[in-house]
Amino acid sequence: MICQCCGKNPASTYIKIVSGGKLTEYALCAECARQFGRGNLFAGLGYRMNDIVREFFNASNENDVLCPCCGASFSDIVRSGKVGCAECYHVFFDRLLPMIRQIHGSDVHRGKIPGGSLQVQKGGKLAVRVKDVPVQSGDEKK
Amino acid sequence: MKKWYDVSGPESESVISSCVHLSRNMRGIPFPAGLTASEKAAVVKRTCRAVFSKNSSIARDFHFIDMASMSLGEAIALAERGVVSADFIENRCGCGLLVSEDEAECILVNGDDHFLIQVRLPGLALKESYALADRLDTILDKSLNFAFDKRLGYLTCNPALLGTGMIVSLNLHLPALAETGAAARISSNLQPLGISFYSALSPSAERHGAIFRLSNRMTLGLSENEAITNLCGIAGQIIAQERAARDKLIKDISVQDTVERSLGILKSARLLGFNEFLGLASIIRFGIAAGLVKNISLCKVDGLVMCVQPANLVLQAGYGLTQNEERAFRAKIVREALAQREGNGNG
Repeated sequence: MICQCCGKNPASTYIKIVSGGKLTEYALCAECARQFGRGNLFAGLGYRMNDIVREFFNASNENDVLCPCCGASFSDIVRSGKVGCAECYHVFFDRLLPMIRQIHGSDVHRGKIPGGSLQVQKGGKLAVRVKDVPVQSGDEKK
Repeated sequence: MKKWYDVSGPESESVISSCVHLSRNMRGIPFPAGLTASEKAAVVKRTCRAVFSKNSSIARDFHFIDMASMSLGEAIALAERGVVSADFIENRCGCGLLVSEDEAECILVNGDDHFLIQVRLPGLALKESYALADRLDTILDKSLNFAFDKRLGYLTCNPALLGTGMIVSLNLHLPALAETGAAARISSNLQPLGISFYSALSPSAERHGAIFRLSNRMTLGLSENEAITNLCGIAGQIIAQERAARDKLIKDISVQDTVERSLGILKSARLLGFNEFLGLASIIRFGIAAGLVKNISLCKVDGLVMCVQPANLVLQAGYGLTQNEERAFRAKIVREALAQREGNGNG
C-alpha cells in the first residue's frame, strides 16, 4: 500500500484517525510517520536487529538482560520503537544513548527540572536561528 | 460555560489555536502498554486523588470521565473537538480523562504515557498555554513524582519525546498560502529545523479547510522556552507571508465574488456536507479577516467548525442520523448561527 500522506513511498506505519465521524486507519511511509511523530524511530534510523547485535552485544548473554521493572529486553524496545518503563532507560542506557543522540542531535536535557516552575520569558534567546527560514513562495525568493 | 474555541484570541485571523502537550510518567511501574487492567485502574485512582484531594488547588477546575464508560460515538465527538486523540479512544479501556469545563485543560491518563497534560487556547497564545500546562505539571508532580533523569529529562514511552516531553503546536488557517501552493514548500523548508508542518485535517477534508499544524519535533537539548520562542518566530514569518498573499488575493474581484457567494450558500443552504461546509467556512474566515464580511466573528466560524462535525452533530441530535438528516441538521445550525447578528465583526 502506498503512503496516504505523500502518495509516493510504500506505507509501513498504520495510525488511527477520526474522519467522517468514524475511527479509521491511515497508512503512512516511514518519512511521513516521522513528520507526524509516529512509527518506529529506531527502524527509521536504519537499525536492524543484526546490526544492533553486532554493534552492541559482544557477550551473548547480554541478549538475555531484561528490565527488572517491566521485563522488556533491548530487542523488544528496538522492535516496537517504544520503551517499556522509566527504568529501561537506566538498564539499557549505553545501548539507547547512540539512538537518542541520532533522534534528537543531543543527549542532554536543558529544560524544566521537577520541583520548579519554569516561566516563559519574553524575548528569550533562540537556540535555532529562525530569522532566515525560507517560508516564502518560489517566485518571491527570486 | 463557553468552550475555549468560542472565545477570540490574539492573531486569530491566521492562528486558530495554540496547544501544549506534556508527556509524563510515574516511576517504578511499566508504561501503560505493559499494565494490567487493575494496574491501570490504580494509576487512574492515584491521579484522581492528586487532582481532587482536599488541599488541591485544581480540584474545582476538572471533572473526571472514565473513558471505558463512554460510547464510541461520544469518544469520537471528543476527538473531533481535539480533547483526545484517535489513538486514545481506540483502546480506551482503563483510560481516564480529566477535563476542564471549557475543554482548554485536560489530563489524559494511560494513553501512550501515564499522563498527557494538554492545554489548548484560542489564537497565538503558546506562552500562556505553557504557563497553564507548567502549573498543572508542577502540582501533579508533587503527588505523582514523575519519572525524570538528570541527563535525559522526563522519561517517556516514545524516545522522541525525551527531555522536555513537550510538543507545542499551532493550528494555522492559511487559505492564501494554500491557494498559491506555498504550503508544501514551507513544509519541506522547515523539516531540517526539526519543525513539522502538515494539514491538521483528516485526509478527506484537508483540501477543503486550509488548516495546517505547525509543531516542534525536538524535545531534548532545547528548553521549553527555546522551543516556544522558535515556533513563535517561525509562525510569525508564515503569518507575514500569509498576510502578503491575502492582500494580493483580496483585490481580485473574482475572489470577492467567491467570498460573498460562499456566505450566501451558508446562510441559505438546506443541506450541507461537512467537507463542503469546511471549504465555505474557510472562505468566510478569509473574508472576515479581510473586512469583506461584517457582523460575523472569527470565533463564531471556529465554533461552528467544531460543533458541526459528524459525531458532534449526532451527539447534539441525541440519536443516529442518516446522511441526509446529518446534512440538513448541519445546514440548520449554520443558518441559525449566521442569522444572529454580532456587534463586532472581527472578534
